[in-house]
Amino acid sequence: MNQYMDMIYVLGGLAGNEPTHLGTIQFYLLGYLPGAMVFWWIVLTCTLATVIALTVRDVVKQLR
Amino acid sequence: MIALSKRIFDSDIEQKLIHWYRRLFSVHEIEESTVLQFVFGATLLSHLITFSQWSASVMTTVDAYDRGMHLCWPYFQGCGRLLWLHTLPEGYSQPTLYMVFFGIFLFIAYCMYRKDWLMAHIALVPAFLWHAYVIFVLTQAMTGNYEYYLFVFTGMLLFLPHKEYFLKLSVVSFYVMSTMAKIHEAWILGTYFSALKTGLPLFPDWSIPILTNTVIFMEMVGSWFLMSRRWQLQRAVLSFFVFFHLYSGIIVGFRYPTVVLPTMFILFGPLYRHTRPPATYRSIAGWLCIVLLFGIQLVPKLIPGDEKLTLEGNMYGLYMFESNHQCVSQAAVHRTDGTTENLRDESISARDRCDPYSYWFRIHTLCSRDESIDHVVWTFDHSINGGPFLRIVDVQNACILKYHPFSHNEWIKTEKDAPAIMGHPVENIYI
Repeated sequence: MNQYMDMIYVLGGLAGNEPTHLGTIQFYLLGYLPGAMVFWWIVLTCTLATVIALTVRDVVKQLR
Repeated sequence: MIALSKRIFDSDIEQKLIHWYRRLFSVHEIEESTVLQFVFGATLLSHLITFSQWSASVMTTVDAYDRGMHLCWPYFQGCGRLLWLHTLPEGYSQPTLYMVFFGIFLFIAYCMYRKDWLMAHIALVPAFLWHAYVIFVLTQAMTGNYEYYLFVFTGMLLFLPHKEYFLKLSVVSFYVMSTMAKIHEAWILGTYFSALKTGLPLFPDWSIPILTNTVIFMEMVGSWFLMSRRWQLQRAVLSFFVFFHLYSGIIVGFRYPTVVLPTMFILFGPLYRHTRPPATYRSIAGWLCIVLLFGIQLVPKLIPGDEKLTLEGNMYGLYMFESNHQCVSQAAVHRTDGTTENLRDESISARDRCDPYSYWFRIHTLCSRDESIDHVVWTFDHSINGGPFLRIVDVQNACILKYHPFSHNEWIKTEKDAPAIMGHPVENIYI
């Protein structure tokens, strides 16, 4: 058993307790996590779409 | 001064071959570009740092195989047959090999001094091939994100036309791809860091989600402005990423910043000039490589379940710092003579990947080598980002399990299978 084991592994008696590692802001954001994930996927998709459109436009300009 | 390449390859046939080689790999681009010459130097430095770490590693040796310590990729689980090197104290073939590479690196530096870029190019190819062979074929144990960076940067520098543009695009693409792994509780809430005993270095705990979401935004959107024509905007974004890499080095150490920061600073720093996207037939290879990189990043997303919990497909894309892991693997080895041996393995750092595959691989190796084993009862508890320990593996005989590299393995429970909660962790550590 490694020296950290007793420290990290708390057996099942605590199951069901609220997580203790969240700060106030994080606990608030937790309620919006699914929406936040969707938001970032949309931002990513829009960013990539914009970049691809601008790149294609530049390439087409060069080919003309 | 006559170029070494002309002295060494002096016959007509050799000169024709050299001419063909120069054209095929667009070596003239390096000869004509100060930026690419500096990147060449940065790439050499990255290989030097990488191989200096690898030279003493046991994981690429037959000694690791003999002890059952080796770890193959899920797509090539028989890699042990290819291990033949020894390292000290068992032997010295591996240190010898790496000293040969050290000699080659000295030769490359000499070629660079003489501005013989063709010879430097030829001499760097063996290091590139060995690096690729080690990280994609020989072992999974030494594969990190920085290896992907080094592989792609070197590949683009050595082999692709329009090197400068595709090197720039690959730097930005890596930032963007890394955010695909960061769209998760670990970074949106910042629980990766709040689950650490030491928190986020230098910053107060309350600022964690603000800073982690800022990083997501800058990598996802801001990084594209590294390629901007607007000088002030480009420099502002560059400053952010220089700070980001210096700061992250507090945790990740020298290796990652060494591979990324010099190349990024050369491409986007004082020597920066806007480069238009190439529109030639020769650029198709570069475009395909970028598309391929994004495609590979999507592999873990196509496998059902949270890849941070199951780790299935996780290592095919960028995954650095995407989740804070803690795990306990417990195996009871039942032998045919009726005796039982308990094997217990625990993570000791947040940077441990806690991949069920790697634990399964060791048990599988044990089963295949020891005929006295009847069956192995195995449980695997995994906590991510300070969440509860979930029993994602609970099987009566791990010896008969198979691991599928590109699809979901039914014996690994996802969050949808409602795995049993075994306990809650206290704050993790990073070492």
